[in-house]
Amino acid sequence: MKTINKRILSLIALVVTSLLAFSCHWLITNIRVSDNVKVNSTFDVQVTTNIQTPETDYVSNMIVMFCVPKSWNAQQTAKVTFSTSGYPQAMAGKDPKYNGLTEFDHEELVPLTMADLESSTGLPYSKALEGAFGKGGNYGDVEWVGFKTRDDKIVTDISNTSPNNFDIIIDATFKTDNNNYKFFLNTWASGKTGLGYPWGESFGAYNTGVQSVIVTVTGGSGPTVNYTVPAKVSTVPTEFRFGDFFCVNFMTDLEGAESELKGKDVYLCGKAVFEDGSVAVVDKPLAENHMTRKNETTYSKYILPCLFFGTPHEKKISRLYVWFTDESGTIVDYCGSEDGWEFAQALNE
Amino acid sequence: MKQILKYLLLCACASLLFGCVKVTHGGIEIAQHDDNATEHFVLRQVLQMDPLNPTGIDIYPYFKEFASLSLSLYFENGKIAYAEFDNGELPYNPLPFSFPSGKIACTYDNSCIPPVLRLSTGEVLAQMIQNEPVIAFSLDYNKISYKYTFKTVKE
Repeated sequence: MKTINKRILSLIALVVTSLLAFSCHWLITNIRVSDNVKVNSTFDVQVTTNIQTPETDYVSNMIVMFCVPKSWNAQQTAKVTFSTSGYPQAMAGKDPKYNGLTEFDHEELVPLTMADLESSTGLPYSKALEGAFGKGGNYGDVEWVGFKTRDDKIVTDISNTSPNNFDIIIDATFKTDNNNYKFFLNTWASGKTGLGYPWGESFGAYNTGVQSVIVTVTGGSGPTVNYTVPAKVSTVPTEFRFGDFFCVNFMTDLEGAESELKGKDVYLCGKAVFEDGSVAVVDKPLAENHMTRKNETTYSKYILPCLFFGTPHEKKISRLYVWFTDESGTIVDYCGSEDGWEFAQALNE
Repeated sequence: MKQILKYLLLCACASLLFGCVKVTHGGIEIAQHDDNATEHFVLRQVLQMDPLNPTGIDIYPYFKEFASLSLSLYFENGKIAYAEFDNGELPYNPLPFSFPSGKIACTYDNSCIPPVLRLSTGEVLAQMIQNEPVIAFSLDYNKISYKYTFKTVKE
């Protein structure tokens, strides 16, 4: 009986040890963003991760990806570094070659290029991440940008000591442009071994998964471009100034959020605030502002603002809002803002 | 005498054969028998080009005001002599200069490529592309451009 109990206990210990040996994590434990992020400036993001791995004999670069507004050109303008905390202690142990290591301190990461291909898809990392995670919850023009350690700076081969986990802290500085934004800033980090460790396996063991925080950028003269909610209004062209012709598209059913105007005759209303402070408003359903129904849920109308408001073309508009109503004028969709949907005017460079 | 008669017969036949055939002057067909013809044009298309739509979207159908714009060319002795441009109900001027009302002296200038309709003041009213006047302009955003193309109307 005692022999059988010992064997059972040994077996259990073996199973548990094996599970512990092959269990691992790399988790994002905290994301901190600078307070008061402003347009035309820089701001900092610090991503703290905790990594715990078994001995693997793999030596790996680290790749860090962020999802941010495309207009920032962050692949060219962002600066990313990494540091460690607890790395020497986690590495010291049975294997003498890992004794006496020092912490990494703000080691620079370099931008990924199109030649850096994710192994399981064969795609550049930006495309591979987009395929896996889409736009990170954003409804708008964002992109995944990536950075990697210069050479094999992180050793994921950790000897089995306790504690055998340490923190990798990623510091990124982003440069904003003149747009006010509200968006989900997504972060993802991965190891990338020289042995071409398959994506599927490395995905499970050697990457952090995606985490996001909402970042709000203020201080610009235009409206806030909010990528965290579906945009009911879009335009063609996508960029224009208020002295140009453009088409207003109104979506009445987005991601299950249905406007009361869906299926009805819809009329475009608007308010122009001019540089001299005067205001012009169109808020009645008339033949002139009747919208064309393009399909079951989308309505459109081309306008030239000065024609729409009956004002001289030379009179400059500084802010432009639209909202939508039905033929009775009683059902009104202000697109989530009491002033209506505000357009951003492009800058002549 | 016989030679003179042959010559006169030949001229008579040529007159009958070529009298009413249209010939092209400066790319615009005119009826040769009317040396003082007038060609009236209205807009055929208003193309809006932007970086995502470089070939242009025709916005003519969406604004009734475009139908009010007109361009006329007046011929004397078979040559373009005057132009008249009426901006109609549109609130902006597509030309980089103010076009006076009424007929303005104008010539067909084929010294440049493409040829242009040049006013006596030296300013260019329109390019002539495939026998059609074309007026290109921008309004507010410098990455958006517009192009008027015209079609003739019969009186």
